[in-house]
Amino acid sequence: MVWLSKLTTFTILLTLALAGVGLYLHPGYGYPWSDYFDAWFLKIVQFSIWQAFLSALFSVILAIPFAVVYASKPFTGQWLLKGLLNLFFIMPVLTVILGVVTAYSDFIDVFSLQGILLAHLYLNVPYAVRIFWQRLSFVSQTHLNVAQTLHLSTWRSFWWIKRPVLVSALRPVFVLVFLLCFSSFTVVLSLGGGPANTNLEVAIFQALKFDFDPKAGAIYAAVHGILAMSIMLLLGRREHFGMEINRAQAQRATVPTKMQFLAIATLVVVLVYPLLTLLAHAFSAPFTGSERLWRGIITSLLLALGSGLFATLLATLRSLDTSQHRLLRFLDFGLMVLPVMVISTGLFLFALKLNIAFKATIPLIIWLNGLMAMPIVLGPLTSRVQAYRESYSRLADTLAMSDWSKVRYVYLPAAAHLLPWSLMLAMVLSVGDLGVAALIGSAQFVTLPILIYQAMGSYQMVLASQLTLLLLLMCVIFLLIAEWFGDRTLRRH
Amino acid sequence: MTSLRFKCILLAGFIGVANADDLTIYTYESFTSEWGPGPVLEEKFEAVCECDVRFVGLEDGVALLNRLRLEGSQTEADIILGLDDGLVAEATQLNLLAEHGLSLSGLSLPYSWKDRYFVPYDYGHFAFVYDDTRVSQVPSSLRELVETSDVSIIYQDPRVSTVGQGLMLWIKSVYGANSGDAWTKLQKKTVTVTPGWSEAYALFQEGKSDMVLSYATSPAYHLTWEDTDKYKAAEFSEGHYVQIEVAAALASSENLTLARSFLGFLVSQEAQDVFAGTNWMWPVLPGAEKPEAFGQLIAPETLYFRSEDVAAQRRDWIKEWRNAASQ
Repeated sequence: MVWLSKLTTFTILLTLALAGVGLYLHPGYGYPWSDYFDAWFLKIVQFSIWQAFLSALFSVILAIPFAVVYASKPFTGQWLLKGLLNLFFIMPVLTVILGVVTAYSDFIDVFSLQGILLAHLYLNVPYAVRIFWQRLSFVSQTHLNVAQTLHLSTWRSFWWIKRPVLVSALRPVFVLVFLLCFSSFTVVLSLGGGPANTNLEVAIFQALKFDFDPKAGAIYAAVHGILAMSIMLLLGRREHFGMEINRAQAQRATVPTKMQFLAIATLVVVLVYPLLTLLAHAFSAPFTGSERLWRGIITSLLLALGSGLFATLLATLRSLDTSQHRLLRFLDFGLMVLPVMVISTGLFLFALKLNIAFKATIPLIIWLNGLMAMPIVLGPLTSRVQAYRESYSRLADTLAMSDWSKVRYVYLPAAAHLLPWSLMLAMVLSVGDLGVAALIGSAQFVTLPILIYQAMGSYQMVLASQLTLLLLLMCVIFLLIAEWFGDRTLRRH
Repeated sequence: MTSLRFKCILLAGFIGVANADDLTIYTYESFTSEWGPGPVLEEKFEAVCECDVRFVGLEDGVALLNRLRLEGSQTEADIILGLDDGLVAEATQLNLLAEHGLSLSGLSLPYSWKDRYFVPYDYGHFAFVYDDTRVSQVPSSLRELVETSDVSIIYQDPRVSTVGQGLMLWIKSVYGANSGDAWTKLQKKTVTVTPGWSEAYALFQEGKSDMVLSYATSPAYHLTWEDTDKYKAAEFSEGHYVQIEVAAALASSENLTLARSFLGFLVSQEAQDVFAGTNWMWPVLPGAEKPEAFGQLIAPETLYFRSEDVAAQRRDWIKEWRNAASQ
């Protein structure tokens, strides 16, 4: 059984190895090494770190007060708020970018560091709020009761009970947001507005697209990988970051306090505002479809389905092995924060070497996006299989079931009703991909996100908004299908 | 088996696999736009060729060259259209092109043209365009713009756009070894650097900057379609860097004959009549139709480098720009 789960590990390792080979065997010419470490290189490394640092800092600072208020007591309808926060984590990045552009371009120059930070805040504050909130909810009732018995003031009870929880979550959340922003591609590419705002991910892309200098791409990729890895190691043991995308257990909830109501209203208004301006923009002019649009939509659906299936397959196989081996966890988690551009570049260069780069566009994109989505759908699957194992492993051993029948009769049925949900979630995560498709697709290759980026590139914001709305609609449909399957399987069991 | 084949056909349809009588032309974005020369030329050529002409619009001219390098002989393009004279040597070195086999003797160009691969189809001088009603202190030389003037400008990324590359070559021909300093000074006046010409011009027209890098011919568009003479090209005393736009067929094309006949068509009277009024550049055929407004344009002195020199130093010049512009 363990060997089945090794297939996933093997796929990940194979991908990394092939990417490494591709980067090493890069085609095209190169220049002396010293040529690459110039003022420009220093500038982009500096910008990458500074930008990620600011994004992480502001995300944490903004998230904590909201999380503290939300966690002060369970309130009715909190699942809805959690749903909205989760949505911002899985929503296509382009939606957020375009939302920020349509909502704020009258007030600030969005094509600048400010714009990049703003988009990063939209993507990460909800996530940070969610994790702090979750951590604070774990504060045991016993502790709070003791605080009450001791007549601790609200402030003191916060200081002695909640502060340590926040502090322990601070480093992992900061580091994770830092890593996500450090590896940010779409946001920096779309909102960079000129050579001054370039990070390593964008530099890799430009080295290939602008200069056709794979050696530069490989060098930037390696530097990025090394920096990301070192920052990851700062995390030490893997902490619990898994988004609790499982439906939460019903809690004893009451009407929100005034303070909570205020905090909820503020966050909801701020989060929803760019989506509304996006909507208003999209409906400000009639929609004109095109042949390219249909091709883009269908290609995107095909890619999402392929990536979704691949991610679900990998995650299912992986979930069969519930041992917490360090290397496995490192790989799962590493995939979440490793620069996609690095792996994509490596595989693409490898395919170029084999002369199949433009014939293999679709399988390559599916492969890469599937791998990227895998760790996110893995969590719930693993905990489900773990639960079944705890209940049934003795029985299965007593019955002397073979590994295969254990998989067939115990673990697969356990995972089965989560599969449609995993598939849909992975599809949502893949359908918005811009970076991989833009990097490895040929000039004629269009997906919906590529069309959005092109419309935005020529400042056709209305068209871009309309297309983004379409993309969002597709995601919503996937999620609704997931919900529907979820309900059906719940009723059956 | 049948269903498998059906799926393949379905896939081919979505992804766009080339047909035998398809002519795929990689070009830059504004060439294919509704108002650009692309649609008219497509219609005119399809009327005689019994083929399907497909334009694929990329960001801008230099992006075309990079695309070609990336795709190499695996490219789906039959023709690459929209590189300029500066990139000719570098593109030729890729060994991907087919000779055009045309005689180009009757053409009128800023300097004589003898290339075996590239066919020139229009040309123009780069210039900074401004709105006369908004800018009063117009610089009269590139040096004045860079050093003393306080107008704000938008220009294009020289790694992507041939227009941006034109400014790079212009600065190089005026400043030589001191170009790095010139870029640093210019950076302070730069509102933004866009990937292509279309974006830069759109931002300028929204009023985001005083001047935009474009062509000396651009005002003709506004004279013709908007009946306004408020948009002017600033004439610089050092002379203006010139651009000749060119096209070539790819040796890997499965329709080389068709591709060559398209190149011939580009310099025919019928196609040449289209360029001035849609691409707003000077046609290369002396007798070609031009909107009346072309008579009111500035006629600047020509500056240019041999494309071999550009090929040898482009990367260093780009690095010089990049280091200054990213500060």
